[in-house]
Amino acid sequence: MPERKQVKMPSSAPTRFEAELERLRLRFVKGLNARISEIESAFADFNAGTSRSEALTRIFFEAHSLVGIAPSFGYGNIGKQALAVEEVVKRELKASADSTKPDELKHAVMALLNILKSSAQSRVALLPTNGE
Amino acid sequence: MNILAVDDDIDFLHLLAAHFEAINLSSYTLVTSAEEAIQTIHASHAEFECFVLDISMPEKDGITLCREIRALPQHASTPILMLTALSDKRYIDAAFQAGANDYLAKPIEAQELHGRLNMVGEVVSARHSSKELIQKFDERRSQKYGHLKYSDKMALLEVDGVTTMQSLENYLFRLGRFRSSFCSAIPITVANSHLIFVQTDPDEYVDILAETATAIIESFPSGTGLLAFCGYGNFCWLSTTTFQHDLTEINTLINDTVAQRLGLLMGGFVDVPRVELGGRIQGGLRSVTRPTAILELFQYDFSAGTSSNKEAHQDWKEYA
Repeated sequence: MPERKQVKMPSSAPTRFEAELERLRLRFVKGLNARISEIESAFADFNAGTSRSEALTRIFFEAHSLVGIAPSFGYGNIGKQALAVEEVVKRELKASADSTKPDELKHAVMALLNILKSSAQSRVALLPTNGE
Repeated sequence: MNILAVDDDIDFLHLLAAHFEAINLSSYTLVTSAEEAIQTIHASHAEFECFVLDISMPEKDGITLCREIRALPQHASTPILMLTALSDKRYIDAAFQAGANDYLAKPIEAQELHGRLNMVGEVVSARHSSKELIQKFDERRSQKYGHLKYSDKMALLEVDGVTTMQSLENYLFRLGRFRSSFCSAIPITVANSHLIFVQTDPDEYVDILAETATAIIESFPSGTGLLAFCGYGNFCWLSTTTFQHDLTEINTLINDTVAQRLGLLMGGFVDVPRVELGGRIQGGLRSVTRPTAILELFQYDFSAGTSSNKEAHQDWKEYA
């Protein structure tokens, strides 16, 4: 079951804000498949070795977006793993040909993809939560 | 308050919009790239009064965009809030050096964002009131130097790397207790600023201060700090690194540069600014309890150390 923590609401206008946040959370969950496809496609390009730095940059921006937004919808575990991917990608971008660690990147990306897929497929994630 | 928010993630923009609506900010525009932002600014009929920019974006990043917005005369002092998931100090430094007024970390905390936006709203409405007051005052003023006071803390935002004292405080808060303890502040005074103030009209005085600010920034090693003007001919240099350069050498370099640039221009009719650097005020342990402590001490040192400027202010009032 994907981790999802309750999001702290502001004290002013909580009901409307909560409802909007829930609508956006569902939108975010529905959009996870597109994010998964982008990461998988970029990772495939990376493995093919044709445009290594461009592929890494694409993975970086996708992971970076998740770091910034997933915890806002209660998906702290996605944010945490996306941050791990971001860090590995940064190191890979700086690494020379003989110091690159593709296994480390693969491990981090796969872990992120697993969490994303699990969140995207979770029925709980797609059901309205009524501010549980 | 009319806001322009820029982030390459559309989900994040919608989340921001929800936060705006939650505090009754209904006038906002959302765009997904820096290029689109610039086009929107130029095409918009209503002036934007606040910018919320993501730092990490493909193509052109938020720091470059911030610099470009600051270069537009109508937005030289419009509040800019940077939002980013990047916590590296380099990005915080770069954002403030590019002219940002505040920096918030993603994921955003609702309470914190609302607090910051409310504060910006207050600044914007205060600016509206002061604009109206200045307009009214300008219409009625009969005295030549009526609207510029020697104590005014002009923003001098047309100079790259110059920010406001408020932004310096925000910067230290963003760094947090530990990292701010490595910062230091250096009081810089234009010792003869009172004479220059009397010898020039307001526009000339501001131009001279801007040139002096440029010379100060260029004389410190690049990317090592932020500068703000504090009124009374005084500047605050906030050193953002633990650099140990020779301040006497830097002081000489500043005065040489100022003399080269302004000496001929002023043709003996106006004094050439004489810049003096004070001692370094180190953050250290007191910053651990209060990140902005060095700025408070800095201001105290100024009031104690620049009595000639205060007297001069009195002289000027009599002159005026």
